[in-house]
Amino acid sequence: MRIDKTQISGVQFMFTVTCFIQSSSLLTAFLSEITKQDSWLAVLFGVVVCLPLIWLYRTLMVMFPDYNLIQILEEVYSPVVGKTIGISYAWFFITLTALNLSDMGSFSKLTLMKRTPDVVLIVTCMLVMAWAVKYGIRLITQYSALFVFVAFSILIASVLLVLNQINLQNFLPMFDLPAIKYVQGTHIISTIPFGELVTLLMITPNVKLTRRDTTKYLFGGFTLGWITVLVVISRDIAVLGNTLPIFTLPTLVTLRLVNLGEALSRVEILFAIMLIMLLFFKITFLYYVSVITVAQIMKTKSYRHLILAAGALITAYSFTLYPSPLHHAASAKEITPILWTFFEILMPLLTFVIAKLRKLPKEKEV
Amino acid sequence: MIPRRFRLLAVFLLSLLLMIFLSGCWDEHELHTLFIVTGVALDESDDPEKMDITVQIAKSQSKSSRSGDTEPQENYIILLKNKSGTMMEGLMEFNRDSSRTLMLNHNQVLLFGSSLAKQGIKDHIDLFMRDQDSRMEVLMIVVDGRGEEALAAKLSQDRISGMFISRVIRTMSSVSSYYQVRMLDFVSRLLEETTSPVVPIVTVTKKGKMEEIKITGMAVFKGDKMIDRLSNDETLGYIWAMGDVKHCNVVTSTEVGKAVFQIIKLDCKRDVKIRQDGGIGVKLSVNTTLSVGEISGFSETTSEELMPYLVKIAQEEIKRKIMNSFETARRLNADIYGFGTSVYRKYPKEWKSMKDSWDEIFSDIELNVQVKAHIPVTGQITQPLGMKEE
Amino acid sequence: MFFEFFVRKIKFLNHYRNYQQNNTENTIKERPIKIKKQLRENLDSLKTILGNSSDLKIHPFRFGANSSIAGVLVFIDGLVDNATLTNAILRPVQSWQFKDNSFPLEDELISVLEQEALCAGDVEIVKSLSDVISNCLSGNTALLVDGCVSGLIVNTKGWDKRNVTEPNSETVVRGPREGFTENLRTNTALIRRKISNKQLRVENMILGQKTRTNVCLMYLSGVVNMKVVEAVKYRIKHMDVDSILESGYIEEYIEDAPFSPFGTVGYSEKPDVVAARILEGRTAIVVDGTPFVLTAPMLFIESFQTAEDYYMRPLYASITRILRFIAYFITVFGPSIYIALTAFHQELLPTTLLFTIANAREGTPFPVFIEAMIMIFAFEILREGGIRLPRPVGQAVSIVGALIMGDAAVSAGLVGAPVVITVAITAVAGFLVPMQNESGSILRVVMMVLASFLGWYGISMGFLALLIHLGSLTSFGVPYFDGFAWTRNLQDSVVRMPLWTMVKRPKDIAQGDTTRTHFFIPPLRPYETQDEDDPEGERQ
Repeated sequence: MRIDKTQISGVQFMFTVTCFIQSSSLLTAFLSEITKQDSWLAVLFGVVVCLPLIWLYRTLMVMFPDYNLIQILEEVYSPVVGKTIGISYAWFFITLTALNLSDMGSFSKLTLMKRTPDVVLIVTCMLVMAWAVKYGIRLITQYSALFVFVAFSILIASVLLVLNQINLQNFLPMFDLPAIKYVQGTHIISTIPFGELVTLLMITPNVKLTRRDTTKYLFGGFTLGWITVLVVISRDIAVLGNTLPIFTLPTLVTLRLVNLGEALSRVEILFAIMLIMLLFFKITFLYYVSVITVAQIMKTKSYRHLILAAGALITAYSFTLYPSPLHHAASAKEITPILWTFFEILMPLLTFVIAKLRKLPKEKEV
Repeated sequence: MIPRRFRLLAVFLLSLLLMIFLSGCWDEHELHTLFIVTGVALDESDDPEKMDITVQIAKSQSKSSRSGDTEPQENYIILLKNKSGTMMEGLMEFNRDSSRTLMLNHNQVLLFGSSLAKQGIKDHIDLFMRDQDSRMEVLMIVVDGRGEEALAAKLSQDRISGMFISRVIRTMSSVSSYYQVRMLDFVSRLLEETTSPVVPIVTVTKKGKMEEIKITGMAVFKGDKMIDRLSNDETLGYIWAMGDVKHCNVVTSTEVGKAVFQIIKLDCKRDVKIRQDGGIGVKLSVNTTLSVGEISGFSETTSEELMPYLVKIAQEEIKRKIMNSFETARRLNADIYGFGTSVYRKYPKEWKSMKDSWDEIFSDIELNVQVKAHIPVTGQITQPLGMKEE
Repeated sequence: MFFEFFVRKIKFLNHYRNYQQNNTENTIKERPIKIKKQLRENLDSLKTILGNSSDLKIHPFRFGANSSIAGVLVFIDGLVDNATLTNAILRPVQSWQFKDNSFPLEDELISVLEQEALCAGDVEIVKSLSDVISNCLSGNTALLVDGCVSGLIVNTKGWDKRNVTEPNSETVVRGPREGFTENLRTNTALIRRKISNKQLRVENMILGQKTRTNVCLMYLSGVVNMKVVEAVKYRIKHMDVDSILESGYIEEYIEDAPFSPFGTVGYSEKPDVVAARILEGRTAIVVDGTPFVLTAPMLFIESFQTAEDYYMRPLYASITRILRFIAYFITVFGPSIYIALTAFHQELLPTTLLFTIANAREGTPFPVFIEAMIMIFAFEILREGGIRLPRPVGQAVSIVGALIMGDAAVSAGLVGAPVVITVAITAVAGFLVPMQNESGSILRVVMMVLASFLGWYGISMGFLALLIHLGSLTSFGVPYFDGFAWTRNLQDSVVRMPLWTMVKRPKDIAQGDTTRTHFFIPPLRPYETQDEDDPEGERQ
């Protein structure tokens, strides 16, 4: 049973993956606090660690092409156990949405609208997103190509603009930090931006691709994504040097420093554009996934009547998540990666192993 | 039936819309409700707990009130003065007492009086780093004297002294980017712990009815306290040692003749090595392309000997200036070049033990400067007037 | 009380939806009146039904051997071409001799007349007076014979019509300058001339209970998506209107999203544009009485494509197309970006620009939003006034408006000069994309309101909401705007690639036959020959 009947094409899927990861390129502050000038190494390690993880997701997508994640869980474990795990995944997706939403609210408030109450910013955003979710996954992801294109243009433009302020000496010394920091950094990178691709498993039924195409598009999108994150972090390290760890939004500071002639200054508008665009995409996608998950667990025929209710819940949740941004940052560094590991790495791995042991998916009888 | 659901939906949506539209626009600041701040000066005050804060505001000219050029200075800038313990309190007091809100976004310069600089400035710049309004490209300047004099100066070249200073410094930054010390650079050097930041120092002099602001060197800080200053010559040596210089002049003068060269490009590579006895040896290799600007004298030299001789004296002059400024730095025990950071980047493990005794190690540094000059052009004429034919 | 308004609206929407599902075809439920044998009775009925209109001409005449048969010509003066009347009907009938001087039976008389006597190409036999009336009202002549229960209808249409001239609304520098006229047959003929293909179908319908307007559907049967044609026919048949005076009436009834600022049915006044659209697989709806021909389905991109794009060379055409996109962006977001930058985010302006704008704003009494609204309002008044005024006076209006109003407002200090400049650029940019004029004007104001409340954030939310709305629109089942998602060919979207790269037709629109040409063959260079003896091309 498919709740959402719209289809997305392979190319759209690839750009969705890219957009998803690119939106995390703006949230690198908690990583750069830990690994300082070696943050780019942490990203590379994270990519290496995540490649098998993405392969795992791809395998699950290919093994159960018509089932979304909850249905896979119900199929692999017994329906009762699967539903319980599914409920915990519903919590996971809703929390992800609320986290990203509070990020968007606090970033917008900090950089664009300083005196507007959070409520207005977040509620306006959620209303537009609820409208988008009503139309299904095709609409949400159809702009991913456009957003990726714009994000890449802004990325290249920003690198060119700060070219005169890049100091390659800022990358040295390498490997100076204690090893545990690298492990922590890698862990953060693999769970927070890259691991969230587990949400793609919820849209498997909407993506009708062959085995090879799934691999091609998934890894292609992932590659474009991590290249973006790498370039952003490297650029920030090169420009900001040892002041990188003290800033909450290093990309903003880098863009503020651009000064080519008198006219080409104050290009932080590019930051605002990228931030709103990419975070909007990611939160809408996660919102959609949360609604679909809840609808799937409750086995309703249509998810439309759940949209506004879920939206209200997520909005209220995002306000009450953390008492202050400091708590948020501390949690992002220490607690969240460990919690996410369960949902993103352990559960899919376990599901895959049990599915193989139980010889699923059963061959359909002709 | 359906109408009830629609009615509830309509009520819900309408109340949300009303919430947004009726409560007002919080962030809207119309331009005529803002004061555009172009310069901030911090000075020592009689009260030891407090400091004097002066803020220079550029006044908007409405079209009807604009007349000729002989406008008194008061029509272009407004100066607000305050005494308070911290920057934040000072700003709050300004906002409370003035008809418009202060906008720090376009602040060009942050001036420190020299007496305040000697006491330490780290505590005062926290607001500028933390507040989202202020940008990290604010230029840090130390004023020889009191900062508010620089803000109040009536200049003949420009109406607003804050803009003037920032333009002068940006022009000079085309020579070398180390003339321009933004807040980011200053903070970056402070974070390095062993580097001594240097900041341009300006002097305000009176000239008839107008004043004049000139850049007269660099102030050397140890930590966040100013200890001494470099003269313009020593500044040149510092700039050359840091490298990446364009369009600078090398003035040489020997008994044989005077020559002024223009640096087309100057690069300086530094190589740090740890000596056997635990000290540091730094080798600076300067590679420069010069062009001959002006020659006078040289009546006894032949044109064949001229070029190599010019190269030699240029090299010597550059080396002399660099060694000169280095001696000053060594005397002040201030690592203005960032040699410590270079050691850290190359030998991170050894650096941990050397960090604490950096003062002794710095005074013990062996500096080896090697200059290689290359003069491709001599201008439109080949030899000066009065030179001997061979 | 306030909510009652909304509730009424919503009830009506509901009723509308039900009505559409349950409605049957729009048939004119009149009982046909038969033609009677007595000529006098027929004439009396005619006169009564048409109410003794003074332009109804009834011309009795006698023909046949010994002028024994009484016939009557019924026509409406002004709609018929008198020469055709005389030459095609009167003369041959009155001079016609029965072959063997026998008197044929009554009903055979009509068919004999039709096949042997009349010198006209378009003749029809009718059996009811209603047909006679409707034909006469269309400009045909009816020939009734005493004693026959059928009548003959001859096509004698000939009223005053406009010549085929250059259309006012779409002028080109290069390209054909023919435009449609108000005559249905001329229009279909113009399209036929562009596409001489046996697959071109023309289907006629009569719409409007009172006006009985002729409407033609034209499409290429091998190429078009028959589902779209069926959808168009279905919607047109379910239109419950009493008059169709212009194609806009039909457009409003058949479009997909009546409350959206974007129109999902395209229109054009030029036959080459409509022919190009038919060739891509669209359906054209030609309406009698208007030179504007509708095309369905329409995509958002089409508003940015003009006919000239395809007659110019690709490089310049691409540049102009990108310019049009930028112009549309400016016209929708221009004033709102100005408001956001100067009232909310002054840190994004360079310092010297900020000084200039601050000086301009000093002393002006209104907030930026009000200033911009005043100027836009003034511009809309001028534009509308310029259209309505007769031509000689229109020039004066533009001069008065533009120069004097703008300049005087700035000098008086009512508005700032930057606002005037911004609004002027916005307005002029709106002229580059004429088909989206309505949407541009509406969205401009909406964005300005959003910007004045939430600054840049508001504009971003508005932009995203606009994208969502555009993405959700469909035009007869085809997605209106796909956001460059690479699901269709991009050769004709942001840039116009050379014509030899457009190998396939858009898949969504043309279901039948998606290949235009088979291979992607760039044109031969002038010095390249296909000479077999000379493959190197040495022999020129």
